[in-house]
Amino acid sequence: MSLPGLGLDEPEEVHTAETSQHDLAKDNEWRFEVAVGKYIQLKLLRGTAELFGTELVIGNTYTFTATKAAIYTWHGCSFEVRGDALQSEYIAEETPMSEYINVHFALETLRDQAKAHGRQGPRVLILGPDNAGKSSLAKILTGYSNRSSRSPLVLNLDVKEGVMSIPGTFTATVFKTLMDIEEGWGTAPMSGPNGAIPVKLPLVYFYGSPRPEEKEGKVYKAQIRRLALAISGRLANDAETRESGLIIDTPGSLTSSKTGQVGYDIIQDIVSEFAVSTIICLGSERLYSDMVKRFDRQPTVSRSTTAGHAETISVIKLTKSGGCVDRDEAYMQAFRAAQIKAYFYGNPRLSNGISLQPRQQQVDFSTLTVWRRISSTPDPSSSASVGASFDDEDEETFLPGGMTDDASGTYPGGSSSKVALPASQIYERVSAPYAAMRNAILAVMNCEAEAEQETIRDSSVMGFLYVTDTDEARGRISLLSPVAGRVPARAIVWAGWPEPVLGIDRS
Amino acid sequence: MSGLPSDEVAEDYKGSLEDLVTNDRYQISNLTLIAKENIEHAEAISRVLQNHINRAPPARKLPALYVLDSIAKNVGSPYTVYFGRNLHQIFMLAYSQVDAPVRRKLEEMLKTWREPVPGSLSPTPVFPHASTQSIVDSLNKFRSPMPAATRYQSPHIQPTPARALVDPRYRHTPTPPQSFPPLASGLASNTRSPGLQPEIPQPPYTQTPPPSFSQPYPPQATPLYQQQPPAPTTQYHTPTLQPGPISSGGVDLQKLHLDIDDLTTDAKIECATHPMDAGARRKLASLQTLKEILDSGNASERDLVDIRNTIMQKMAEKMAEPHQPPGQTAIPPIPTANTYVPQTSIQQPAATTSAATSLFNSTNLAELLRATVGQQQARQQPNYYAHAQSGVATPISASTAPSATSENPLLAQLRASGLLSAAPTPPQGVAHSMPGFAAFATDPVGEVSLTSASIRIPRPHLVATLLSAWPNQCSTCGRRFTSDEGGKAKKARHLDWHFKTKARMLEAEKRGQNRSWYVDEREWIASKEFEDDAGPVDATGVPINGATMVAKKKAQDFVRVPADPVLRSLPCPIDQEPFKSEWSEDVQDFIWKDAVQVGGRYYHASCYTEVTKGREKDGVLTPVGGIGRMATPDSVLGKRKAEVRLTA
Repeated sequence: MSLPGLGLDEPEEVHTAETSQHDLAKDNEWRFEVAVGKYIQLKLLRGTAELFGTELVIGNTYTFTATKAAIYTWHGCSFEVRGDALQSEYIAEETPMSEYINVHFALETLRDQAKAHGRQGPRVLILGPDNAGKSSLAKILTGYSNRSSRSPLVLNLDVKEGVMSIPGTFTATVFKTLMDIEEGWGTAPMSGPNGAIPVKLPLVYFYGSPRPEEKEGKVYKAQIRRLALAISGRLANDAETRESGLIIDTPGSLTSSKTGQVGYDIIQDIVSEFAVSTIICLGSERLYSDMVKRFDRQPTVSRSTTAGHAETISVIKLTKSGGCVDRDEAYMQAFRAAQIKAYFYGNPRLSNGISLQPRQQQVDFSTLTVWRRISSTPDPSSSASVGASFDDEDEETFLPGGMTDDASGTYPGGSSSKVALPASQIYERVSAPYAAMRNAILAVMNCEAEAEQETIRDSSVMGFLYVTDTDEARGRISLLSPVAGRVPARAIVWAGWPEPVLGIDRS
Repeated sequence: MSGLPSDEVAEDYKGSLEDLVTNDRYQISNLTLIAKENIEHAEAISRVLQNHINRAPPARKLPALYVLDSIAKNVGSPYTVYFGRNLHQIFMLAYSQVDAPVRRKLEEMLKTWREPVPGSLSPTPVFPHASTQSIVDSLNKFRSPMPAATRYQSPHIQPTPARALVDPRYRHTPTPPQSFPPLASGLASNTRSPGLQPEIPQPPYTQTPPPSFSQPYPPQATPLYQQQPPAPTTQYHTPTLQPGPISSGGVDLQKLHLDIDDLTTDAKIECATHPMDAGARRKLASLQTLKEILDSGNASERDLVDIRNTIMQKMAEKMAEPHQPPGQTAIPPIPTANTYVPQTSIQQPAATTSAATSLFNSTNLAELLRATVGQQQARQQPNYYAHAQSGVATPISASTAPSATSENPLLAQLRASGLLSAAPTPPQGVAHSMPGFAAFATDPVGEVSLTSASIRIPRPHLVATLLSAWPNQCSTCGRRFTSDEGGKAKKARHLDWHFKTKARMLEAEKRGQNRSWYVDEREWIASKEFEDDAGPVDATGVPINGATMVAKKKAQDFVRVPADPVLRSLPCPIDQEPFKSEWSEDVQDFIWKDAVQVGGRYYHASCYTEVTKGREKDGVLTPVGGIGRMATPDSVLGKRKAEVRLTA
């Protein structure tokens, strides 16, 4: 069952609220998995506990959904859990936490030095295959940094998972305030306050594909370059963040052998664009030795060159946590759908969550400037036939590059029948709505509607729209917009990824 | 066979394993039997056993490994498959943490793994060569980088040949499968190797203790060690037995030797577990030099007394430690060190500060030794800091300085070692023993460097520092503050912020919230994250929650269109004109311009000003916003007046 978004619509079953109490010995970890659409409540009764570096408060109820996480304790604790059945749970005695916290101590030393000498704090790049615990490590390091009163800039380059935004995006966010234990990272700004945990302000870029290696990584690299510029601007303004440094999370596919050389080229790019000073390799010896060969003891590309101080890159490897579990595609898809839904609706069932009210509106398509990415979205000229099947076939997914398994004949076939577009062209203007757009995610870019193609591509994102319906006959389109009012007169990009989510408006 | 669920069996098995403290043949065969009977839970059992081996204190590793060995040989598949997966890791971890005699046992055991099961007709080895070969390779590698000093007196071990044929020592392996007592015959008949059973002799625990110890061994001691008379690590004499420091008179040389051996072994373990640790290596070298001097018999009587007293003191401290019940899981009131880590912190600040200070200027052998050894013990037994600490702090009366004239090479060397270790960090940044103390107070994290080796060393004291640095916790969100005045003030502001946010939440709930557009690059670059207590609540135009703030600030000019349709349709009570809705880009909502809300009704701000003019000089327009807070008492009056007039 890989029905995107289906998990969201599961009827609320009546569960007997079974409460179970767990006692955790010191240095142990309770690992648990909550399915999408399921909710558990957790309350810490005694002792101290943390979730990926951020502390839990005794007596507060934390609600978790769609997560695979672990409660760790340095001193021992006991807590109670109730709610829906967990997918899995167990207590692990072996954890790499002491290694991870040591990394934090080492970074703290560098931050202190940075502060003392007015230099840039450590720029940490986390590499590793999929499901090696990269994001968790990033969270842990960020959580500990917060505890040490730092405000690091967290850079998510993993396009498969969103941080403070939906999947398919790059984000840069300064974490000065507490991370949101339930949300994973935190919440982007809303029209009102966000309960006990302040919102954080992300800068968002839209990559719109799960595969960084596409087009030899050219697009990915271009957007990274743009992001790096913004970040160096921010660091120049913000001394506190400059000293705290960067924590960079990456997609696992960069290190996979399938990606090959392109992945390493991208890593090279990241290292030089962000002047990375520390590379952490998780879960792959081969990767570690490759990185050591390439980068260890090489001088960093530091922009803040202080005389007499030559900074070199250190490459270290860390143990992969035994708690890392493979997240299959079905789970990831449901997870992405949940992230997208949370963007529009919030997650009111979380104890710190807010119910958001996006605006549903029908607009004249001609007032919008919608650009479709040629390589990854269905061609309108072939949509007449596709449209019908699209409504019925729930299993339809848009894989970038038109590599849909069951409809692969349809999409590329459509475009190949047309006159070939120039290779440099990325987007094509969509003049009228068509059925294939239903349930798609559109990105509103921060640039002129008619801007140059590359400008559109590299612009930051203002927000996302969700297409609830199209009315081809009247040339109108129904949209779900996070913010009420006219859709901004900006370029709107349809990239075909994250994949369409069914029924997000029917909740 | 039992129909119990796997985890229950596993839990049970774990309990039994934890009871296994000595190389008890009966227990081991029993555990083997259980494993055999519950073969359907092989995965759970093997997992538990592997975890146990990995976590057990060094002294208990060997018995646990014997269980593994016994199961592998007597039960075989599927256990061999499960063990085989992690065999390298299990073996090497255990190997790295035990002392030389046990290592030899392990090597013997490894050798048998590479041979067919004793008595079996099948020529396949106990474990496939694929899984054992890597261990052999690692062992060879492991030995080569060991400091020469370590090899100094450790029994020389032949690298295990790729595949040994019949090893003459084979029959003497202490592996239990071959040494089942008759009462385990029920098991034996089921095993694959019944034939060899009776041949295997020597239950290790029948050995008599070496003569120098009159006290029975505490149960922690692994009797196995006693087969090697000088076997150092486990000679736990009770401190009460120790003769007090004697300032003169005969020195029991033999005992001194034994004790030094003991400490040496500790140092060796330290060395082996942290091969990169230069400090440990130096210490080991010093101890060995000390031993050499003793062996040579050149030392003066006085030196000997000093050495003896110091060593005895160390031994007493060491003895005191194991009496603590290990592995307490109770939650300590204040954060302290880890208990689970077998190889541990390189630096224990509390325990070593006094030692370190004296170390730097002292020419005193005893003190030097004490410092080094105290430190070493702090490392080895992190959960017993308190003991180690008090031991170090206790002044030793007998520590008279050796005559300055006696230019004992040992002294020089020890001093050098002390001074050496006070030198700055070696470039590879490996944590080292002595140096940090001075720096420690000012920079608590100065010692972890970004190298894979340094990262691996657990540092419970740093963890404790981090976790306890901010004891004052907000009970709402968990944010922590310092316990000093500044922290308290900050927390007060923070709680204030929580309160205000709550109020605004209620307000926002009525109106309904929505996600804001993301900021663009320029705005983001210029933005600064605020701490909650200082941030958006007071500042204006801040992107965080900015919209609400803008709405509040500009409330003088407009109000949001009310959600209530009745209210929305009502005209201004003063001029009876309806309100005009407009879309506001700033507020991202529909608003009524020139409007003001007073007491649940909306007025045109201009009308309202007009009507109330004269009664209120200023502050007329302050009574806005749903909270109904008034700026001055005047305005309350004014409001009432206005209402009266309207209703009239």
